[in-house]
Amino acid sequence: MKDRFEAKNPRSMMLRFHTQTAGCTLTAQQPENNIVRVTIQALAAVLGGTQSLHTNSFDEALSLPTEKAVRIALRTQQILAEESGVADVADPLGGSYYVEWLTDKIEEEAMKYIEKIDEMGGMVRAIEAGFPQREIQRSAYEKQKKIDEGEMTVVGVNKYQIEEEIELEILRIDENMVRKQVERLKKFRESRDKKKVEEALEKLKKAAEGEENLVPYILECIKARATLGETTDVLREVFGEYQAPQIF
Amino acid sequence: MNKKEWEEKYLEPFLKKAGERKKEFITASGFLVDQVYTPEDIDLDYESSLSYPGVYPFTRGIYPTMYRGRVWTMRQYAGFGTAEETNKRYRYLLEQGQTGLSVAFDLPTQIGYDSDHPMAMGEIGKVGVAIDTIEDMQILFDGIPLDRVSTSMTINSTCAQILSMYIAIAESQGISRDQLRGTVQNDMLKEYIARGTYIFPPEPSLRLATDIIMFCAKEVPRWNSISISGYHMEEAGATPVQEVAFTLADGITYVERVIERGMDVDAFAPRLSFFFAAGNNLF
Repeated sequence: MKDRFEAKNPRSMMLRFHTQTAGCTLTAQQPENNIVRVTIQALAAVLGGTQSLHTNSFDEALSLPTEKAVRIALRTQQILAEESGVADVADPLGGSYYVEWLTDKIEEEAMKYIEKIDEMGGMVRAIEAGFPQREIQRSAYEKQKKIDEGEMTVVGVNKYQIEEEIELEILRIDENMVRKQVERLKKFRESRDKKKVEEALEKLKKAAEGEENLVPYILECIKARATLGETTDVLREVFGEYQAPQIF
Repeated sequence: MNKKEWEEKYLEPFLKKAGERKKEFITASGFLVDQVYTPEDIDLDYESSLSYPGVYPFTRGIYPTMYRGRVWTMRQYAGFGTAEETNKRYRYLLEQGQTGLSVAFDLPTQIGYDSDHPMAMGEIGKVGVAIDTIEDMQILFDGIPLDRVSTSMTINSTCAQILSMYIAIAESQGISRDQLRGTVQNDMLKEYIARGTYIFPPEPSLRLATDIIMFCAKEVPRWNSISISGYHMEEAGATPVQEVAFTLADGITYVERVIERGMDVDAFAPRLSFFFAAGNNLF
């Protein structure tokens, strides 16, 4: 921000970030082990100086999290914050030879990608050419291959497996909820001033065809009690829909 | 003794007697890892590379006291079924000591279909809460003081609609938009790269995203107008290097677009935020 965009305010140069523990690491097998994985991941986030954190619930490879699983995930953060001592000093790993070497290395390799994307004419062009999508696909393939061949351990999945019947309290969505939602929507549509809705949507359409900032127009539609779908339909009409390029 | 001497004198004779568990040790980004790292491995000028917490380049953290002042915000991503059920879960989480809210929306809400649309069938309330109207939003935040919690919303293609609903319900409670704190994801580029909930082509999507960044900079100054996300790339299989590189390249694009539209960089950059994944390898 400082060098490339000549920002002057130090706040413009801060990288504030949220972290979530990686959902793809959760296993359906021996799901309780996920509590330990999440703890390690949360520790990494905190050592990295995150501003906010979501810790995954251990049952998420199987279903939406139950209240108990969510509570354990939250307690994991509370234990880190209030028992572990990791929050008592700024950047406890700063100066670690290994960490600093890794940081430099990641920075160096990431800069190579950024320069390449600049050469391609920026990220929009790179996406249209399928570049980042392809790079990620390649990494995903290599990682899966390592897991399949046992070169990379996933405890409980390709090593230390057990015979088990997974007994978990699973949260399911009740079909009645869907009916209730659709009924509420119907009543909402019937009880509003239709003319006001149409006027607001028409104004949004005109603005979308021009170059003005659309947020105030969308806010007017919402206040006039247009639905999310109706507002989006107007934009669909003006902007069209995207078809993903064939990449592979 | 330097590292090379140590390797010759201690490491190599030891390796001859007892090998290692693996032929090579590799990080998640594919770097070969040595047995040990020493001052010789890093080219470090303390002030310019690390410096102090709260000081540029903020390597040691963005605040002078970091978690001694206040620990990170504990923010569990949650949402399922209807607004009523999700509201109950939020109240439970707040009672249990959570310090921020994070809303998961169902797929129809994320790609702009109301719950009675044929495209929404089978997906209502599944991966998040179904929100069609301002009334649903009112129920979702019922009894939650919007001037005191910060709310993060994972919404991209329909971000302007959802943010509008949030502003509107806050204002109906007498809370002005400049008091609101929270984040909208609003990162359309990563939708094309890894996440997939896009509606429009990239150009109009970027326009909407920058509309939101510019609107928030003027009207909702305490709101993080975008959360530039690498998380979904990691979930799709990206290495840490790819996650960092593509996320920053997305960030560069947003900054360029807003500057092109005439806004000074310091007027909006303090409200850009990021979102990363933490995987199993601690490092």
